[in-house]
Amino acid sequence: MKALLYREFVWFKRYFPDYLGMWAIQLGFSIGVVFMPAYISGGQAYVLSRLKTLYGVEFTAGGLIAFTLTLSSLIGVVALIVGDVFSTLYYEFRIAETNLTVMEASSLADFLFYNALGRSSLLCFFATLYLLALLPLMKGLEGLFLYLAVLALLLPASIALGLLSSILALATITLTPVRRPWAIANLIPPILLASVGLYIPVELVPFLLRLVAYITPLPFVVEALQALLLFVGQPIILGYLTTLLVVYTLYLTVPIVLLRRAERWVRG
Amino acid sequence: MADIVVEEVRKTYVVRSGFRRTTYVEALKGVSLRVTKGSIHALLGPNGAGKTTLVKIISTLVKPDSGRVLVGGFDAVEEAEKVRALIGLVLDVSKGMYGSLTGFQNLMFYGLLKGYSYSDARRRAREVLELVGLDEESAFKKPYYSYSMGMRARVGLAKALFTDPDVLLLDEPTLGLDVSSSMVIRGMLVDFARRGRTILVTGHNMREIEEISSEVTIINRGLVIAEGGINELKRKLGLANVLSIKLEGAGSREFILRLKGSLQIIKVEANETSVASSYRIYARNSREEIVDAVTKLIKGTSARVVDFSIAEPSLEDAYLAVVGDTLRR
Repeated sequence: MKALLYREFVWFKRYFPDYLGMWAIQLGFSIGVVFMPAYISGGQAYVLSRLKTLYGVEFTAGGLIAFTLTLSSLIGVVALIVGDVFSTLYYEFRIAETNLTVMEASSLADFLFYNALGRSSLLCFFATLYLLALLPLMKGLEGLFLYLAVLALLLPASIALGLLSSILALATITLTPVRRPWAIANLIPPILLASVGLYIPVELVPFLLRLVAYITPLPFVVEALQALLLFVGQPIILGYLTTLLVVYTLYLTVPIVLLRRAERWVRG
Repeated sequence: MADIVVEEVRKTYVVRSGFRRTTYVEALKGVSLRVTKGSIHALLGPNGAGKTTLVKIISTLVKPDSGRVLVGGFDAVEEAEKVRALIGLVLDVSKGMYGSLTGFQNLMFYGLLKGYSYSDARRRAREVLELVGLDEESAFKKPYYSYSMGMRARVGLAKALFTDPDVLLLDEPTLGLDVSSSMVIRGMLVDFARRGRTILVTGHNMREIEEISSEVTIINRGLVIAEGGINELKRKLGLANVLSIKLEGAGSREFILRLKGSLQIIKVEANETSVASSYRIYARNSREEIVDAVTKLIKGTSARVVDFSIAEPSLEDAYLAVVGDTLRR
């Protein structure tokens, strides 16, 4: 863990402009893709009425923007984490072969676990950082709390996604003849996001697509996020939290067990 | 006492060349070797012989399919962590480091992985960098990807020495290095062995290996084909010493005939002219026996020795004698 923290610190210092760019792109994406069509382009009344039909809740213009802005943060989280895990592991296993240094010095499973924990948390923070600027600006103190609640929901999901991506990347890199794993990495986020029905109620997504999404905890997270943003009431939120606790336990335990097995197959 | 014991180790790799095509490569087919404590033992063989696989197995990176490996008395499979605590490893001088980190930062990362505290890792990283003679500017400021092969080899060696290990496993540590860097690394290895460290080194440069090693194991196609002390190996293989002699005078031929009678000569290559005659004589006798015979016989002839030298068989000759046949097959 200490080694990974050190490496992350050095990388952060070295690649700070990249992280800054990541934040700026996410902000621009949200404003450009979500904020503009929903609020400025004149279709506001239409969008609001469609959402009322979908969710059975009366949206305000501000509520709609907060809703779409927050949900779209998941796009950045999924894309960044899956892409980062695949490219970092490919670099470590096939180019620099730093995996050998790790395996020589300690446990590969521990390294991959802490790697997923550290990098996924960091990337989740950066992918949602624009919300820290926008939500308090729109909703004041309530916006700040909303941001913290969103972050609390997304962080464990990001770690689970990082762990699952690590296993998939490891299997792709070590067990298949695939030489361009980033091509697979590029396909995963759109498939996952389409399967969770980001901007529509999850139950409207076709069952087979939902099955794909349940590989990850994302459908549960999207449901909880939607409930949080629609402010459906404290008892239901508590219900979601209980479900999420079980879901996160499951989605974090299974990958950890799989990582232990992965170490065995990598060491032959 | 042996520090590394390898007994009947077998390893087969599964190689996937397509989603459906898998081939099995038998990298090691029952390899055994013993490395004496405090020695530099060379593991030789052509490309694909199984040297790197064996080093990876000894260093716990890869598990053998069968057989046993002991390092410092610990089993490399059952007690892998104890073995890892004993060894320092260089696998490929250009690999195993993050390109965007400096040499110092890479060593810090390794030290922290090994469980050192931040301050201890920092102190030790500085110490080993100084030990391998890497200058401060390069080690602390430049990213690893900008390093020359020589600098990378030094960082690799610094990493191997980080924990002050008893056993060093070095897979081609001087590959791609210039003459001076290679010489410096060889000097360091000899120095480490003098301090009681056991070193297992692989390589292709026979002159370098012969300069630093006392014991050798030659493997080919996953099997040990020769082993022992370098001189013992040369003797076992019956390799000839080569006497090069240039003679003048009418008695040259007679001298060679008498020499044939006194030595165990395998062949004679002659280049005779009216002025002088040059001979290359391959004899199974020792250097001393050859000198003795030439000194005795020359007195009774009218030939005059103009030039005279004896070349002992090199490790390369021994290696080619052992591996040459299998390569041609």
